[in-house]
Amino acid sequence: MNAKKQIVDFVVGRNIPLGENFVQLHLYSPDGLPETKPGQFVQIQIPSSIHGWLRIPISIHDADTGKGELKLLVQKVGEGSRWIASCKEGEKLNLILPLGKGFSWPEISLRHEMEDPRHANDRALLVGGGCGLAPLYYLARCLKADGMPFDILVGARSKDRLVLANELAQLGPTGICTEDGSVGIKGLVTDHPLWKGVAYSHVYTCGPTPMMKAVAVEAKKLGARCEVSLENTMACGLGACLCCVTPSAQGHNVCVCTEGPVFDAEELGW
Amino acid sequence: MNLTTNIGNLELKNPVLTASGTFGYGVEFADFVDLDGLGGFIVKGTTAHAREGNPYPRMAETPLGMLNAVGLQNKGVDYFIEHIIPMIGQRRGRKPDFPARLIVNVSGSTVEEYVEVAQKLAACPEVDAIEVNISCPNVKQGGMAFGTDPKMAAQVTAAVRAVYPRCMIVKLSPNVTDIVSMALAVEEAGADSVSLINTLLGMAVDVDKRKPVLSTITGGLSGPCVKPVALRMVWQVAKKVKVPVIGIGGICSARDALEFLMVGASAIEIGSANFVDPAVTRKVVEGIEAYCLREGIADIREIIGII
Repeated sequence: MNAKKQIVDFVVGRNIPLGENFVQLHLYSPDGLPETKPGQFVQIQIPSSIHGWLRIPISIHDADTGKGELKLLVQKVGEGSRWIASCKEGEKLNLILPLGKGFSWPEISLRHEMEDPRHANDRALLVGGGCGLAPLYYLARCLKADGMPFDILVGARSKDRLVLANELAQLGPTGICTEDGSVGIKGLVTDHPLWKGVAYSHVYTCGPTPMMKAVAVEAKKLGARCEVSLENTMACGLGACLCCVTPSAQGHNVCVCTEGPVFDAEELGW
Repeated sequence: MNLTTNIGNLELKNPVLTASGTFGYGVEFADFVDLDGLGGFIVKGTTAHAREGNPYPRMAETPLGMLNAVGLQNKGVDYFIEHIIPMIGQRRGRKPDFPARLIVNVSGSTVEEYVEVAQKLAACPEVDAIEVNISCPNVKQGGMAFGTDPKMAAQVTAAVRAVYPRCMIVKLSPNVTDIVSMALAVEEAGADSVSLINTLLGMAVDVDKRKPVLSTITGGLSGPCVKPVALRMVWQVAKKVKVPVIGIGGICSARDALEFLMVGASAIEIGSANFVDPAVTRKVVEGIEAYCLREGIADIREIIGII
């Protein structure tokens, strides 16, 4: 059962620019915040204007429920996200959270279960690019806290487009792929030698859809459980408007905002 | 202060309803709004059989509004009766003295389909009223076709009237030259009330992809940008029909709601604003109360249709 959804006013604690296209927002709420899970998202209110009116969905980059702290990675895409990215310390943001279903927890997440020989070789791979790395950072932090072993793969077009790579490297072994080879392995994330060397049991991915589809194919070859996090355009975020649907493997339209945004790749009809 | 208002023989505790398709089955909003604090809630368009709706993308944001092309995705009336009515009942919890009315939006592609859905809902005591949707712009057959020809509109209305004994609202399309003639036609055919407006047919283009944003090319426009058009149509219709009118179109605040009441709406529906503020319906009820208190209005009926 997910935590009750709330409308909460947050205060911007810090706004840290990450390259030209991203900012990391550190938010806090004096009233505390509900329990959140990696992969869940928030809906941020923006000032009504001719450029935008609906809330902007952004995935949770990190959260500390006890301290009432929340981090978001904001990519400057349209007018709404640019406004959010321009918020300064002390300014208020109105959020609805927590929304959607997050990444499922590996069955072997607790250290004592790792000693069970059936799970002795289990290892997760987290693969992402761009703002898709935001929820994977939160996931990596939680997996690390639970003692689940994992590797991280970060993809980008070029070195200057890389985001969060250093932060992720502090959580676990992190491989980098760039399309132009300006840093790390030259090529796509699916070209990385890690895929050949390690028999991953779980693969988690968030980023551009073509990347996630390719990752799901590689994961299937390994027999790994693969979870993907979708970013469909949405209006309500509550499962009411049915605008954000994606076809399931059975051909039914399912709501990304409430059935997802994280899906088992096998459940999707993409 | 008395905020009660009547839609035909159905009494509402206040004039605030939710527009079909923007409030799910109500339960999606139960974390934010006490459902029984509303006059009623109108749940999603329900058809005789399950519908998958249109392909993604189904939504485009537009200046102070949005286009949608959902296409009546729903699991069909039998599923609604078997699974969703009990689920709504559970989320409402304790039985209040004056519950919000549960109103079901009835949609179809043929007269027979409207009749089948209405007949099945007539057997459900939990359903206080139906809103017959003859105005959905997002389905290929039926829907808006019934809502743009007064003869066809009257035909659907009369057929549903014959099988549905309780309160029947007919939801009108603004995509017509003369909405008054549509309203008069369905009133004559037995509607207890008319609600208007459904969405305005619109379109958006992605210039980078050089393609329409919506998979269906066109879709229905809603949001604050349609309010002046909606208000004008409600005013025109309320002047001509005898049945109560329900005003819909871009309502985001109590002041917006009051505008509709003053031009003749006996109740209002809040639509896309639910997406921006899931608690907006409660705030509109509170805002109307505060306005009446401040203006010394003892009964909301004092201001209905004063323009």
